[in-house]
Amino acid sequence: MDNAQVNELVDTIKKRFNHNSAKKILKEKYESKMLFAESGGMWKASPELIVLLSSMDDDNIVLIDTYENPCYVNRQELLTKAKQCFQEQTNAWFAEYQELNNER
Amino acid sequence: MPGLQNIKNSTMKDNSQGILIFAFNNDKIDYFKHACWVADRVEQYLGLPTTIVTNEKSINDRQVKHNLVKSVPESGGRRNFDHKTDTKVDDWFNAARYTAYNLSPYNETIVIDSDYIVNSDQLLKVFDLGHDIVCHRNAYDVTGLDRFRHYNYFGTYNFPHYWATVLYFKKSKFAENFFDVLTMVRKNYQHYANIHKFNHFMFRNDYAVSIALSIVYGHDLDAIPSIPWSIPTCYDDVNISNLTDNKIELSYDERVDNERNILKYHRTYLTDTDLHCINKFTLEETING
Repeated sequence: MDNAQVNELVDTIKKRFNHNSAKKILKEKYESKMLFAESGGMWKASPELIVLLSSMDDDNIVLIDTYENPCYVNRQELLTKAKQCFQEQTNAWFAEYQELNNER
Repeated sequence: MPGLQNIKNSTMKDNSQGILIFAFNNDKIDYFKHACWVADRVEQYLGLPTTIVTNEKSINDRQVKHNLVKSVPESGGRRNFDHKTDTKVDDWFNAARYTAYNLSPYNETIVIDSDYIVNSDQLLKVFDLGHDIVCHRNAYDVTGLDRFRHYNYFGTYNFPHYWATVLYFKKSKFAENFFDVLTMVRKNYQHYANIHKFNHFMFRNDYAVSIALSIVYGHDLDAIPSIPWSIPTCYDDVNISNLTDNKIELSYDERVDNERNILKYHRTYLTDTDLHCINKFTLEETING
C-alpha cells in the first residue's frame, strides 16, 4: 500500500459517520420536542399519557403534569394534542433515523 | 458615537418577549460578533427580538440591526480560552449577569450565552413553562462521550449544578427577588465559595445562579424547577461547521489509548437542535464561514 492509498483510506475512515452518537442525539432531540403546554400544565406526549387519557371517560379530569402540579384538564383536548404531537415527532424521528441508516 | 446609535433605553417595554445576550470582548475573543450571529439566528428560528448587553469597546463602531444596551463589563477572573495552548489567557467578562433583570426591556426574557447556537424553535417552549425563573439542570454531551456528568454537582458537598447558559425570567416580584439574591451572591462570592468549598478565583455564573435558586426556594432543593430537557453541549475540543441553515457538523477525537496516544476520529451532525458550543474558536471560524 503506497502513501496515496493510505491517505485515501484515512480520509475514508475520517468520513465514516458516527452512528451511535447520532442515534443518541436523535433521542434527546425528539424527547424534548414531545413536550407541550396545555391547560396550564406542561406535558410529555408519551404513550403512557395517551393510554391514560384514552382509558378514562370523564370530559374533565385532574392530571399531574411534568412539574408534578395537578391540573384540571379537558380530557379530549389534551388527548388530541398529545396524539398529534406524538405522531408528528415520532414520524420525524423515524424519517431522520432512516437517513442515519443510509449514511452508515 | 456611530456604533452606539441603536442603543435604546433599557427601560423600554415595547416587546413582551425577547432574548438577552451579554457580550463583552477581550483581546482573544470577539463575543460581540458571536452575539450578533446568534441574534440573527434568534430572529430566524424564534421570531423574537434580541438585546445585546455590551460596551463601546466591544461594538467598535460596528453597525448592527439588534437592540444594544450599553453596560459596564465585570471580569470574573482570568482564564485560558484555548485548551490547545497556554497563550490565550485573558479576562473573562462574565460577571454582570445579575444585572439582567434591570437591563432587559422585555416582560419575559431568556438570557442566553453568546456561544448558545439557536438552531431550532425549541426555546419558545420555555415561555410556556409557567415559572417566574427557570434554567437547565442538565446538559448532555452531543459527542456521546458523557463528559458533562461531573457538572451535575459542584463544591465539596455536591451542591446541585444549574446551568446559567439559558436563563428564563418573567418580570415579577419573585424574579426580582431572585436577581437581588444573585447580586448578593455575586458581591459575596468568596463567602459562598467558602461555604460550599469551591474555587472562588474565577467567577462562575452557573454556581452563583445555583446558589441563588437554592436561597429563593428556601433551601428546598427539590422545589427548584428546571427546563425539562437537557442542553445539547459540546466540549472545547469539538469542532463544528455549519453545513446548511440548520445542520451542524461536529468532528472530534476520542482518546482511546492514553499510553500510545491513539485517537479515534468521530464525525456526526445535528439538525434542528440547538447547541451550546464551548469551543469559541471553532464558533468564530463557523461565523466567518
